[in-house]
Amino acid sequence: MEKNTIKNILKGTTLLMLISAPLFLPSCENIDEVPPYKETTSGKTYKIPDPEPMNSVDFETFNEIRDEYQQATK
Amino acid sequence: MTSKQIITLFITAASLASCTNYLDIKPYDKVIPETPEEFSAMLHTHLNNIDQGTENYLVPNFSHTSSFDASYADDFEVCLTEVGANLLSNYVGSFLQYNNYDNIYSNLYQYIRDCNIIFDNMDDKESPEAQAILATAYAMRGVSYYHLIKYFCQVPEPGNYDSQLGVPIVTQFDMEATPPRSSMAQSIAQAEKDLITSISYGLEDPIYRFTKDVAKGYLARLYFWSRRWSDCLPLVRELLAAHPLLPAEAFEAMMSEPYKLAGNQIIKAYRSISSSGSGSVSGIISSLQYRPVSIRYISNFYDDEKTTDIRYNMYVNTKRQAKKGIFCGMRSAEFKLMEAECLYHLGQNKEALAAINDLRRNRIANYSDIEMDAIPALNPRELMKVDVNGNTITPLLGLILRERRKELFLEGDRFFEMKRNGAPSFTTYFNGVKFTTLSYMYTFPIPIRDLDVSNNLIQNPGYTEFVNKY
Repeated sequence: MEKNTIKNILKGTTLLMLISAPLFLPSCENIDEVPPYKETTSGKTYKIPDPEPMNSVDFETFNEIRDEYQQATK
Repeated sequence: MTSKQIITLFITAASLASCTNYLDIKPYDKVIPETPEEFSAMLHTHLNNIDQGTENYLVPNFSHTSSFDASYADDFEVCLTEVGANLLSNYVGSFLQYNNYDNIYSNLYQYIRDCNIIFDNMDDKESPEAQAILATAYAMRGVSYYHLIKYFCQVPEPGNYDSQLGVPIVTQFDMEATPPRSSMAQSIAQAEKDLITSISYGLEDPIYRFTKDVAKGYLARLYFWSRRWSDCLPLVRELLAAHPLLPAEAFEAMMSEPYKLAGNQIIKAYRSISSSGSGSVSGIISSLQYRPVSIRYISNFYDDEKTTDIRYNMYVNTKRQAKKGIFCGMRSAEFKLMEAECLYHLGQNKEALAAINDLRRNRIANYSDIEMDAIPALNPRELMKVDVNGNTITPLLGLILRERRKELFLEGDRFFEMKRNGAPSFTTYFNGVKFTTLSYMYTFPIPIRDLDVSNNLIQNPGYTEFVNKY
C-alpha cells in the first residue's frame, strides 16, 4: 500500500475519532454521578437519658455506701 | 499534515476512550494477596495485635475489659471514685453517647472481611500452611460473629431464634453489599459452622493462637450464650479433661503471670509484652486504684471464707482496691462454671452442686463440700434477681452465679452476666448526679453510619431519638 494511502486512512480515522468522541463522552455513565441526597446522621448519636440530680433518697443511699466503705477500710 | 502530527493526533484521540470506567473505585484483583504467606500475614497482623494488647475486640485488652468491669457493670463503686481515675467513665451510657460501639462493630466486620478475602482468593487449600491459615480464619470469623451476637443482639431465646434479630451475615468479600440483619438462628448457625469448621482442621500450632481448643472454647461460649446447655456440656467437659482446674497454689502462680500463657489458660492477650514495655497497661491498672471495689462484689465472699478463699486475698486489698491483674483471655475455671450452670439448667442439680464444689475445693483451704440442704441464702446485695430464663434465682443457681462473679472478677464477664440474667436496671452516683443503666442499654445499637448507607437494617429497641454528638 502506498504511503499516501496509509496517511489518508490514518487522517480519516483520526478525524472520525475526534468528531465522534464528544458523542461518546456522555456515555461515561450518567452525568449526575452524585447519589441522591439523603439526610445523614453523621455527627449524631442516640439520645441517652440525661443524668438526674440526686434527691434526698439518693443522698441517703450514697451516704450509706460511703459510711460502710469508710468503716470497713479505716 | 506530517506523519508525526497524524500519530500525535491519533494517540490523543485514542486516549479519549480511556474514560471508560474512570469512576471504578473498586481495586478488583489489584491488592489481593496470592501466596499462603501473604494471606498468613493478613491474619498475623491481628494475632500480633492480640499479643501486643492493642486488640480491643477479638480478645479484648485491658482497656476494654476494665471499662466493662469497672465502669459499666457493678463490681466497682462509681460514687466513691477519687481524682485519678481519669480513664474510667461512670456508666455504660457514656460509652453509648460517644458512639464507641461503632469501633466494636466495624472492627469485627473488618476481621470478617479479611477472613472472607482468604476464603475467596487463596487457591491453595491443601498445604499444611494453607490449612493452618484456613483454621485460624474460620475461628476468627466465628469468634467475630459470636462477639457481634453478644454485643449487638438481645440474649438468644431458644424457641424464638427465628423471630429474634441477629446481625448481618457477610460470607463473601463485596464492598457494595448491604445485607440486612439475619435472624438469631442464622447468626448463631454461622458462628457455629465457622467454629466447627475450624475445629475440623485440628490446628495445634500455637503460633496461630486460635488453636483447636481455643475454637472449642469459643464454641462452648456460643452454646452457653445461646442457652444450648446440652451442646455446651460435653464440650466444656472435654476442655476440662484437657486443661484441668489447678489447686490454689498453682492457681495463684498462674494468675500472677501477666504476660505468658500459664497453667490452664488457653488464649491470652499481651503475650508479646514485657514488663518494661507495659506503660499503657500500668496506666489502666493505676486508674483502678482510684475506684474501690463495691460492697456488692465483696459481699459475695462468705465471712468465714475471707481468710481461707485464696481469691479474696489475691483480688482485693484492705482498702478495697483491686489487686488482681486484669485477665484477657480464656481459662478452665470458666468451663467449670459453665459445666455447673449447664447441669443446673438441665435439671441435674446434684451434679451441678458437685461441679461448683469442685471449683471451690481448688480455691478454699480446708474446704468442706456444701450439701444440697445447706446451700447459703442468696446475696441480698445482688442486682440480678432472675435467671436467663426469667425465673427467680434459686439458692443453687445463686451459688453458681456467685462463684462465677468471684472467680471471673476483672475478666470482662460481669456486664454480660448481668445482660444474660435479666439485664437489671441500676443507678450509679457521681458528683451530685445519678446515672441510670436501663435494660435496653445492655444491647448496643447498630451504628448510625451503617443505618445511613443501608435501608434494610433494623435498629435495636430503645434507640430512637438522635441528638448531636458534641
